Amino acid sequence: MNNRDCLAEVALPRGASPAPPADFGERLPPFMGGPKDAAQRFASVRALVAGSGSVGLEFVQNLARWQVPEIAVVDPKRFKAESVLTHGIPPEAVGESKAFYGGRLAKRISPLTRVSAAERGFETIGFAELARFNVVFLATDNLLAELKVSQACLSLGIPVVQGTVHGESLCGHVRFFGHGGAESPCVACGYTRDEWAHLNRSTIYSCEGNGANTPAEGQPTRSLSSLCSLTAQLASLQFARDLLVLGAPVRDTVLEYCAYTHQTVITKLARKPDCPCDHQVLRRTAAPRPLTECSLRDLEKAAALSDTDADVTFEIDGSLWAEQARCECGGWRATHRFVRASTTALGQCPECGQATTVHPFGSYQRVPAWRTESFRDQPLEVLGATDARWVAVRSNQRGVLFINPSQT
Amino acid sequence: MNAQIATTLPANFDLTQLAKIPLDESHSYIFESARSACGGSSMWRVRKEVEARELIALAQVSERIAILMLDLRADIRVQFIMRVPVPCMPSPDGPIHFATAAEVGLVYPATAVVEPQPGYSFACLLRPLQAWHPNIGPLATGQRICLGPTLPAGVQIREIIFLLYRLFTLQTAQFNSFDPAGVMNGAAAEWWQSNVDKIPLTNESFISFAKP
Repeated sequence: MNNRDCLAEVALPRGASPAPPADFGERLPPFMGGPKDAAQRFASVRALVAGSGSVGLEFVQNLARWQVPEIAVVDPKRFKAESVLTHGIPPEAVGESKAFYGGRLAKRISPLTRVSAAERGFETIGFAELARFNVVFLATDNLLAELKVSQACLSLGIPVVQGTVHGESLCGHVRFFGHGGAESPCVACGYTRDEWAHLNRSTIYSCEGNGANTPAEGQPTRSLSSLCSLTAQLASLQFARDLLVLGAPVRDTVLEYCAYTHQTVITKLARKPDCPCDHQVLRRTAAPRPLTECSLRDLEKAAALSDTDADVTFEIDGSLWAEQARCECGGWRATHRFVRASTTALGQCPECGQATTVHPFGSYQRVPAWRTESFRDQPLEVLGATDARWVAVRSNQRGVLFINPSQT
Repeated sequence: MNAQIATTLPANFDLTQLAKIPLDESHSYIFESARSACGGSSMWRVRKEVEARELIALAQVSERIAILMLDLRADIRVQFIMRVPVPCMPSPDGPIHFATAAEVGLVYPATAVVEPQPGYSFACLLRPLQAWHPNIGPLATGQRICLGPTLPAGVQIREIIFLLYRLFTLQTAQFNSFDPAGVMNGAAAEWWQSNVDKIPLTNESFISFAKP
């Protein structure tokens, strides 16, 4: 793994057997109308679980019991005392990282599975890491995280299986977003006015130190543990049905179960025509050579954007295009290079010799191609992107994602 | 000129009608130039054109903003001068003086339409330098301006403009340096807490038909 990767490998505890207790494939039933290669299909799953709480931890365990080749668990929080009421954990787990607890549990259940974890928010997982997964299970407790997962996965064409509960009505919902293209629905396509208002109310940033931007705490789970667990199982079954093509298609559907009536209703999820989210799916393409050796023009050509593709922009892994830096004396200095987004100081002012800093109005996360015209033929490493793991090239109509071969 | 503007506005004019204001030649030129290069997805382009049109109309009717640059290619980027007092402290021991205008750089990214944003992420003060204001950061930050802990998803640019005006004039400001939300300059916050007699810098509302 690259040393900038957020996901840390989870190892087996010392003394634990590296062999699985049994072979999952040998215990698979012959599903009615199911494929003959069911075991191989499970063996192709590389899953990321966003949120390892009352629903997410169940996802982790199911995936581990299926002995899938890769599981990653992402959750910034730790178990609290009240977590014991709804999460499948013993009291001794209180205080532990949800992500690493889930990761260690998965590794013990399925020693041969590659397991990784991150005690961070999902937004810290970059495209290069995210692109190695072919499904994301979503079980977060706040709308902003949900939106970020949905946006990132839609842009990479990664399906998302989401489990949510509404404790008061004993309802569980399973949404399966296929993210098959620009016309596929996203999470926000279903947001009501109340949900947008809740998103705004529940997200609070801090100006402390001009750096901290921790969103406010999500809603604590107020539900019976059995509803959380049942919803996770329903979601897992929906995924299994999709994987094995069992029964009616489940992509872009919402399954609603109500324990008051034990009734289940399944409806289609539809793209909202005026959804404000970006529905552009990035086509993944191999770079002609290691990204740092490529120029922006090389990548534009490799993206095969035509003359009708207008307004091309470039975005590079965790970097900004710094066009100008400014000094304490007020002098501007043209820089024209890529810098890490966390960079502040950038060279010295020719007038007064003090440090110049990257100016927010003179820097671009997605830089329009015309601003780089004079530099389009220089390799990225010369332009400052010395460790780029991915580059996204977008036009009005389409987008292409290049990932460094070493990341795949 | 102000009298002419006053008579061309409908009697029941309010800011929701900005889009209906016919643009004069110079403002129309700014809008059409920017619109001709507007990029992005169709939804985003529509949103950018609406925001740009309202901003330019606001500049025309208020006579408080002069737009220097408007770029709609990717993010919305606008550089403008706002006629507003700005407190500055060029030397650490004072005295304070007040510039008569602020040159501001404002960036509105596509993500701001769907996600709440930190209040400091939109605007920075380009000139004057050495601003002395609790919610304006030092030069090392690019004199970022903090409009509050969070601005809601889909906040409109005209709302940001009004927030900026009220912030510069100290009609609204966050002083409490023990509560970090919104405070970008702790020393300035303490100074202004001790000089509340100077606040606000003006009671003039954003749209005023008085001569400057």
